[in-house]
Amino acid sequence: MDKEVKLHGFWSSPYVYWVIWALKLKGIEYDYIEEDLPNKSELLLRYNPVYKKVPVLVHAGKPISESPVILEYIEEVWPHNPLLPKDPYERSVARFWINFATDKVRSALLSFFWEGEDGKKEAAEQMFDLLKISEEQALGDKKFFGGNSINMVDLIFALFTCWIQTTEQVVGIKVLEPSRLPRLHAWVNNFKEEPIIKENLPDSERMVEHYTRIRSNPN
Amino acid sequence: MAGEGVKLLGYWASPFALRVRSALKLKGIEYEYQEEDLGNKSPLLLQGNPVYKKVPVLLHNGKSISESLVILEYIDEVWKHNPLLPEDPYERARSRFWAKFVDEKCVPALVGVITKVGEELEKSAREAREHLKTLESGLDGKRCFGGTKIGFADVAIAWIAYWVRMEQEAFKIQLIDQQNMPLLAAWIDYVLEDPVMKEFMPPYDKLVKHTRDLREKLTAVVSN
Repeated sequence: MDKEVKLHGFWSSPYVYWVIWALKLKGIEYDYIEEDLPNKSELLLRYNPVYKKVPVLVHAGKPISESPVILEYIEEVWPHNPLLPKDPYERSVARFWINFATDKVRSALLSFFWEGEDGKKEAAEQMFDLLKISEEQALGDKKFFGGNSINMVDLIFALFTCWIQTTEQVVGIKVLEPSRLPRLHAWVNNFKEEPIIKENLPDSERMVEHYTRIRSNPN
Repeated sequence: MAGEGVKLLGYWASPFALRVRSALKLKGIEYEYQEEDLGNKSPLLLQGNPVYKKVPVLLHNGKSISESLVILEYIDEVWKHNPLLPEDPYERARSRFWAKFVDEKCVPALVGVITKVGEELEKSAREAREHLKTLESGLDGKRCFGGTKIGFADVAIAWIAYWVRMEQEAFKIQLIDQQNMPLLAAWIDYVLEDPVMKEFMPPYDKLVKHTRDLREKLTAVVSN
């Protein structure tokens, strides 16, 4: 059946999961198209000529790229089960942390992943600093970044779940330890247990295998 | 003044502060402006933006909002008249997409032009030209990113018009090419003539000198 909403994605991409979770949390039906990343489809290249990347959401034939932009779009078109607070100030706080995660956390995680033997300890420390800021200033004493229930900020900070865990294994340094980051560590477990999230997580063994291969063969 | 007061912490040469000043002006919002001495940041700034300690910071009703694009969204939501973002969700997505593209791609390349030398400088200039060409496609043949009139994306991107001209003159390199990017060149002219957009652009000669000095300071390390 041809659905009005389509998502072009890749099974290991955190940015794709952000969109999958948003769609599922809102109960939006969609067709999923798995892209073979070295051989991107014609459609993907046409829909996202600027970045040529997943995820791309296509709604009634119109493509939207860049995951934070896609999330805001989903929130506006399907406002039920809201993923952002109503109050403009609270929304600005949510957007601040979303930017922090998509900008700083993401690049630190990439550095942590790609650094060779010489640089990886420093990259791990930098990663830890960002984790600390996230725990103290974004999460605080709340159960979730969104308060009592998950919201868009939790989805974005999922970088701190499978993706950081995979990187820790592949690189061989742990950063998100319960002794050093107790509240964030608890959040990781609570987040992964949430309905919908729990049923839509990448397989950890497959992730380690995939990312180990990428790290030794970057191309 | 507590309560309703709006205050903006900014810096004269910051393109990000410029965005917020233009947005507040477009909406006719009265506010107090505080120029920050970046070498000696005020307690208000350090408390208002503890994570980055950067301008711009908007203070409203005793609360602080940081990150220029986040501030623009906040302004648009609190003061709903003269909307910056279009109504249609798809068009809103396009506006946000191009604003982010500028921050992710154009900013690092344009900063590279200031901070790098030799081959690295050539590379940054080349990247800047490529990204500007891509940016042109965002106009989609229209006069501005917002369509017929200035909107969210134009406010977010307008500073490029000024900075590109300034870097071309300051460093004698070509970034915008009338022939190669006619639509973007036309948009630059349009934006630079708009009374609201040009009101807060820093004094041109002062900015050229400031940028040249910055470059000397940053590349002195490299040359030695």
